[in-house]
This record gives sequence, C-alpha cells and structure tokens, in this order.
Amino acid sequence: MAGWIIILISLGYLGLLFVLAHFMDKRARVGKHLIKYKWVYALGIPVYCTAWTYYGSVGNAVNDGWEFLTIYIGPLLTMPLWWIVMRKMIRICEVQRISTLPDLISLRYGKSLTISVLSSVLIVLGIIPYISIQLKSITNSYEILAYGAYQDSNMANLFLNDTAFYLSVILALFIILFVFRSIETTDKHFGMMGAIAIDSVVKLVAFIAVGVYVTYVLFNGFGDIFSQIDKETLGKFEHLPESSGIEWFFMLLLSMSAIMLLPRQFQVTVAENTNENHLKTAIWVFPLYLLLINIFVVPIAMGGKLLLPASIDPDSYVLAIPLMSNKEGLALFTFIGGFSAATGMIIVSTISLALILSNNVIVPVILKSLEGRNIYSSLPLRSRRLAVFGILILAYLYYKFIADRFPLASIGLISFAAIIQFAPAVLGALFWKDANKQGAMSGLIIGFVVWGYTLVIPTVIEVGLLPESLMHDGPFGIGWLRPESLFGSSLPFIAHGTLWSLFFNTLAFFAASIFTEQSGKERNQAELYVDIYQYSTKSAEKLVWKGEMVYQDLVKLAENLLGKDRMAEAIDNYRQRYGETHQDGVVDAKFVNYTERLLSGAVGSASAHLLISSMAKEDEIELKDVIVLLKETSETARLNEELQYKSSQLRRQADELEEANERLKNLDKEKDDFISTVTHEMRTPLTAIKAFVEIIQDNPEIEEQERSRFLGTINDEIDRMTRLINQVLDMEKLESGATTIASTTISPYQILNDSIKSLEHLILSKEIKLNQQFGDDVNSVEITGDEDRLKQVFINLISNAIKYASEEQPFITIQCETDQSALIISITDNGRGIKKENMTRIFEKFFQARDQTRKKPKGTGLGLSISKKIIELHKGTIEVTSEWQKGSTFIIRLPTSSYIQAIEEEYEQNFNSR
Amino acid sequence: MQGVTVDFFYIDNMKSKRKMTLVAVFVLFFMLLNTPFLSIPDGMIGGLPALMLYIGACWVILIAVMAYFFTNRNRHKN
Repeated sequence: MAGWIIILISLGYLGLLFVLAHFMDKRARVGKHLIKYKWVYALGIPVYCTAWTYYGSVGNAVNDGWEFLTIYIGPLLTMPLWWIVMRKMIRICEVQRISTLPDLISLRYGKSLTISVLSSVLIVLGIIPYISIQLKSITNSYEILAYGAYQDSNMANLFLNDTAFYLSVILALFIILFVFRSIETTDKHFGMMGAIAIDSVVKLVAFIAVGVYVTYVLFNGFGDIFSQIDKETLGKFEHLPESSGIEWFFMLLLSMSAIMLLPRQFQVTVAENTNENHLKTAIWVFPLYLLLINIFVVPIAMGGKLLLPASIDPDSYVLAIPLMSNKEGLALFTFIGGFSAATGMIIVSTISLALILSNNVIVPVILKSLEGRNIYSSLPLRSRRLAVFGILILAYLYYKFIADRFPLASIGLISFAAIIQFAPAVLGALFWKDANKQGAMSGLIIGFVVWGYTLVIPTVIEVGLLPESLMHDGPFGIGWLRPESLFGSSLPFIAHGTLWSLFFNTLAFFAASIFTEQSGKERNQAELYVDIYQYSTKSAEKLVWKGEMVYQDLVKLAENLLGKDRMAEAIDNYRQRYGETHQDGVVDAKFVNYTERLLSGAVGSASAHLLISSMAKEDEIELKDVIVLLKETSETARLNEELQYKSSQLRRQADELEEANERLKNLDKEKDDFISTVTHEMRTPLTAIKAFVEIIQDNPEIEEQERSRFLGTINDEIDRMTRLINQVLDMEKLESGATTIASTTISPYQILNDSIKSLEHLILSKEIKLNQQFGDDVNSVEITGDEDRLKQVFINLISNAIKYASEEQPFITIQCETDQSALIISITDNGRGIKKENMTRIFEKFFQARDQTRKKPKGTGLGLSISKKIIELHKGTIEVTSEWQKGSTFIIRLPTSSYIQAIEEEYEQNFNSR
Repeated sequence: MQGVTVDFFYIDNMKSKRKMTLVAVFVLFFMLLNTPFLSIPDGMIGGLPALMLYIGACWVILIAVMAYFFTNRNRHKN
C-alpha cells in the first residue's frame, strides 16, 4: 500500500479525533456531555491497552502461551479493591487538589521536595521506554503495511526523515493545543477523555474485526484452529507449564500495580474523575473490555503460525494476516486500531509525565533559583509545554537507540516493574499512619537501584553498552551479584527483578518507618490521608500551620498564578465558608492552607509549598501541635456522631408522633362520618313521618283508606328508624365488648336451613333460582356459639344476595362443606359484584352509605360490619371474593367444636409436660 | 449512651462488612487465578483447551459479581 495513503489516513484519523475532542470539550464545559460522562470515563481506562496489547499480546502468546493474559488478569483481579483503594485516592486528590502520583506521595510525606523530585525522575525514567515502544509499534506497523516487512533501523533516518519523529511532533502539538491551555492542573480534560474513549472503541472494534476474520473466515471457528495447530504449540495452551507458576504470580503483581499506579492510569482514573460513583461503572465495564479485546488473541496467534512464514515476527501477525489475504481495507483498519492504541497511550502518558516534571522538578527548581521573587502563570504553562517536547524527544531517542532491538512485551514489563516500586509508598500513604518520609525515600531509592541493576542493566548489556562479563561473572567477578541471578537465585528474568527490587523496597520502607521519627507535618498529613472520609469536607481546618504571613503578600502571589478573578472568587468562597481571611493584615493557618491547596491545583504541591514557605516566616510544626488538634478533632467527631444519633432519635420520635396523630385524625374523621351518616339515615324517615303527620293533622276530612295508608307508611318509617337504632346499638355493644355471645353447642347447618326457609318467600317472589350444595357430613358438624347471632349473619348475607342478584335470570348458590377443622359456608350471587378498590372496605361501617358512586340501596350499611364482628366472636373468619359485573361470594369459616377441643387439649398437654 | 455505641458499631460494622466482602472476593479470585488452581485444568474439552475455559469462566463470573455488587444501589451506599 502506498505510504502516502497510510499517512494521509492516519492524519485524517488524528484530525477527526482532534475535532471530536474539541467538540466534546466544548459541550462538556457547558454541562452538555455528548454521552454520559460515566461511560466516557469507563472507556478512558482502557488506555491501559496499548500497542503492546494490540500487537505484543499476539507475539507473547506465540512465544509463551497463556502468559500474555497476566497483563490483563492482574487488573481484573484488582477490581474488587478499586472501591477501597482508588476511591480513597480520588477523594484525597479531590480534597487536596492533586493531579499526579508524585504529588500524592510527596504531600503525604511532609510535603517533601526531595521525595517529589525523586519520585518524578524515577517515574519518567520508568515510563519513557514504554512510550518509546508505542512509537516503535506505529513505525513497525507502518513499515509492514507500506513495504510488507520491517525496514532496518537506519540512523540516517533520524529526525527529519523519520515518521516516528513527525508523529511525536504532531502529538505534542495536540497536547499543547487541547490540554495545556489552562494553568489549573485539576481542571478536567473532557476533550482528551472523549478522544481516549473513541480510541478505545476503535482499537477494540479493529482487533475484533481481525479476530473474526481469522477465526471464522480463514478457519471454521476456535475448534478448527486448535485442531490444526502442531502439538508443541498446542501444549502451551493445554496447561500451564509447571515452572511458570512463580512467573505468573509476579506478572500478576506487576499488572495489578500498573493498573493503579501507571501515570496514564492515574491520570484517567484519578485526575479525570468527576464523580466517585463513576467508578462503579468502570469496575465492571473495564474488565469486560479486557475480556473482549483478549478473546481473539490466541486464534490470531495460532492463525499466524499456521498461515505465515516462520520468518515473520509474531508481533506483526495482526497486520500480516489481512495483508497475506490481500484484504487491504481490513489491514488499513487494523493499522488504524493499532495507531489509536499507541496514540492514546502516548497522549495520556505524555500529559501526566509533563505535569509531573513541570510541577515537581522544573517549577520547584526555578522557584528555588528565583529566591522568593514572584512567579506568573506563564511559567508553569511554559514548563509543561517544554516538558511535553522533552518527553517525546527522549522517548523517540530511546526508541531509536534501544527499544528497536527488543520485543514490545519485554520493554513494557520493565516499565511495569519500575511502577511497582511505588506500591509500598503509596499503599503506606493511604492506609498506614506511621509510614514516614524516611521509609518512603529509602524504599524508593533501594527499590529503583535493584530494579535498574536486575532489569535495566541486562538490557543495556544486550545492546552492547556494557561488557557481557558483567552478566556472566558478576561485578568484580562476584558471582552471587550477577544481575540476572542475584544471591544465586534462579528465576525467570522479570520475576527475578521484581522479587528482589520489591523485597528490598518493602523491607527498607517498613524498617525506616519503624525506626525513624515522623515529623509533625507528616503526622498531620497522615491523619488526613488515612482518615480522608472523616476530613474530606473540612480539611483546611484540620491542618496545622505555624508561622506568620501578610495577607496582601499571599493574595498577590496567588493572583499572579491564578489570575485576579479566580482568586477573588476563591476568597469569596472562603469567606462564605470560614469567615474572615485575616486579622490586622495577618492571615491565619486556615487561610494559608486553603491558598496552598489552590496553588497546588496549579503548580503541584511541592511548588505550592515552596511558594508559601518563601513568603512566610514559617515555624516548625511539632508533633504535640498535631496531637492537640487530633484530640480536638476526635472529640468533635464524637460529639458530631452523638448529635447525629440524637437527631435521628428525635426524627424517629417525630415520625411516631406524626403517625399517632394521623391515626387520631382518622378516628376523629370516622366518628364524624359515623354521626353524620346516622343522623342522615334518621333524618330521611323522620322527614317522611313529619310530612305524613302534618297531612293527617291538616286534613281531618281525609278518607279512611288514605289515612290508613299514610299511617302504614309512618309505621314503616318508624320500623326503619328502630332497625337503624337497634343496629347502631348492636354494633356499639359488639365493638365495646358489652355483648357476649351464648356458648351453646349448635348446628350451623340447621341454622342455615332455617335462615333459608325464613327467606324462601322472598326468593320465590323475586323468581330467584336457588342452588343449594351441601356436603354429606355437614349436618353432623357442631360448633360452640350463639344460634340467634349466627342466624342474624346468615339472614343478612342471604338477604344481601337476594337484593343484589341480577335482575335478569337471578340465581343464588349456597354451599356448605366441611374440612377437618371448620365448616365452610359460601353464599354467591350473580349481581354486579364489588369493584376491586372497594373489596377491602366492604366490611367498614356505613360503607354503602358513604359510597357515592352507586345508587343508594335499602339498608343501614351496618349489616356486614355486624356480621363480621359476630363471626369473629365465634373465632371464625369472613371474606369476600368478587368479580365486577359477575357477582360476589361471601365465605364464612367457623371452627368446629371438635377442632377447638383438640387444640385446647393439645395446649393443655404441652403446658403440663413443661 | 449504650444505644449510641451499639448504633454506631452497627453502622461501622456494615461498612467494614462491605469492604471485607470485596477483599474476600479479591482473595478468592486471586487464588483461583494462580497456581496450584491454574494447574488443575488440563487437556481439551469440546475441542478447546480446558485452561482457556477455566480462565474465561472465572473472568465472566468476576465481571458478573462486580456488576451485581456495584449496580445494586441499595447494597452499596456509603
């Protein structure tokens, strides 16, 4: 494929990415994210998958079987710990306005400039090789696509005739234009995150496209590939080699620390986080992404081995297979996928390294040389931009002179081994209050020395920069100091280097922390870090600072760096939260700490501390100062907890009172309803009686027949009133317990029959079809109860059934059956039924009278309430089932005498046997 | 004051229980995806390496556990 086409398409892709990044950034700044930021955030984390993943995993799989997976299983395993570790880091960085790993470490260990510079230099040294392999992968893949094979590394091509050089310049410009525009390092880079998320999607889709092509077009699925591969290669995938357990373990450790501590991972996961809850999405999306991008690694590796000549480098299989099949479009797409994997990594790593170098090395060094003179916002910005070019040129030179001679994976792993050296200091900072500066420094220095000796020196020897005798005989002929076999140990290269460097690092960290004193300043920060959730909202109050500083000096310093508007806004915020900023022109510790945190957001904690120290007459903080503050803090915390508890108690009591009040209101309303209903029910007959009496009184000449009819109506109305009064009294007695039911042995079946007989004439007169279904043994069932009361219930229910039965083809079914414990009587009509929403209210007093949705029927509305009460007094239950417009069924369950007797006997036996 | 102690102990206990669960999940899968457990799958199952199926299953289960743990809001309030 013509080189200019590849370059044009790559530039087009980068251009499109820049435009999208700009657009996404613009939208996000006005709060209108193109897609929810939690997804952008979750897809930003796969920046972890670089060209190493894209090309190197396949090469690694061909050579070492499943071992390539350790780089992804490690991060997968850390996912459950993210909520504990990463969330804490995010919170600390948010509160302390930290944006880089060296800032996180140096601030915790007494704002130490030494630690800040040391860790920054070590990180840059560890990561430059990693960036260089991205340049290598882009150049290699370009050469394969353009020329069909790698070109010899030619030093004559250095700089102006080299694609990698131009790429470095373009990426540097992108970072300067899109990222380093504002001085605030804690500002979120939405555009950059958007671009990285797009990169993640592109590289995933491209890799899967090649995978599907190899697995399902060139072969017939996974099984087909495995069936065709030679035994030796298959053996690497059938089981884990016995000796590889140790290497596997150390590789997991390396990748576990890498996912949390690599500068680019710190940048996207911690510095670019806008909401801790976004972690919850990333925690499952990221491992899913890793799973998808790894599914086709082995098929591509095996497919390449089966289809390509042995001379082809396995790192290039991903591209070589589509090229071999003359699928130029797929090859180009695959190239773009690899290109996006590499550029994404280069962009984010360069940003984070530039921030680290600028904040922790360049700016502090310049500040020292300025000796207290003011600095302006242009200084940190320029130093960052300078660092971007510096880093990319260093990476380019490393690629040209060293990285080009090694496989992608081995250089990547050396970088990982460098990053794990930060693990003791970082974990100690987050979880161990006694960890101190001496411990962190000793651990880092010793760890990196051993890392350099066991992992970097062998690489340098291989390149020919050091004599080979050092490798074989050890320094000065001391065999047990051989770089690849320290103390005579025989381990795989990476496991060996990681084991010894981490061992000495951890040992030095703990030993120095235990045997040396912690300063007051360190203790102060230790408390803030370890207990960050306790202090996160009020950290400025919880920092001890002793000294004297003039308000105007401090404000001027901050204004020079942050701008007048930003500082005025910050001072306003401070006043709203804490009150006055100074007294008699002198600021207090709280305002100094507040301003220092603001400055940290712009120039990093080390430079911010230097700036403050250069202007203030600072006194040494003693441990006792911190202890006094801690006591106050813990006392305040305890009081706060007590207050919270008491407030929750009060809230609970208030809720209970409200509930009781609500109940009383309901009862009051029920009483009002009851009175209103009863009086309303009585007023109707009274009005009728009064009217008829007046007619009779005013018309003495009225005919006898007419008079007799009126008197009959008066009598009916009086009966109705009497019935109502009787039922109200009855209900009241039943509810108050004033009425007791007789306890005689009765036959409900007999009572039911009598009730039916007494209503027979009514049933006949309404031409209702009566269906009686009585079980065989129901006539022998007896219960203990009150015959009259039960009859009252049965008559009430049957009368209701008659009243509500359908006017066309009315029928009523009365069933009576028994189970071992009770007699079950059900009365069914085919009337209009009860609406679902009224089912629970049907037994309420006067429900039918209150129900305004239907035509008012005859009756008092107390019948069902009284029936329910009577059945309950017989230890029975009554319930209703109904279907609207189809009828209702009332079911009564009355426990039999024999059942009650059996229960009582059983209870008595149990009681006596105790 | 007894009530105060018990109440806060309960809250702290719940938070630490969540953390313990996460740590336990980490330890379990760290063991499952290391030797000697990784040495157990051997040979081929249905034309595919047993080791691949084993690692794939562990991977999918861990994703499912994490998704369940962190998408269930009531379970994970802090």
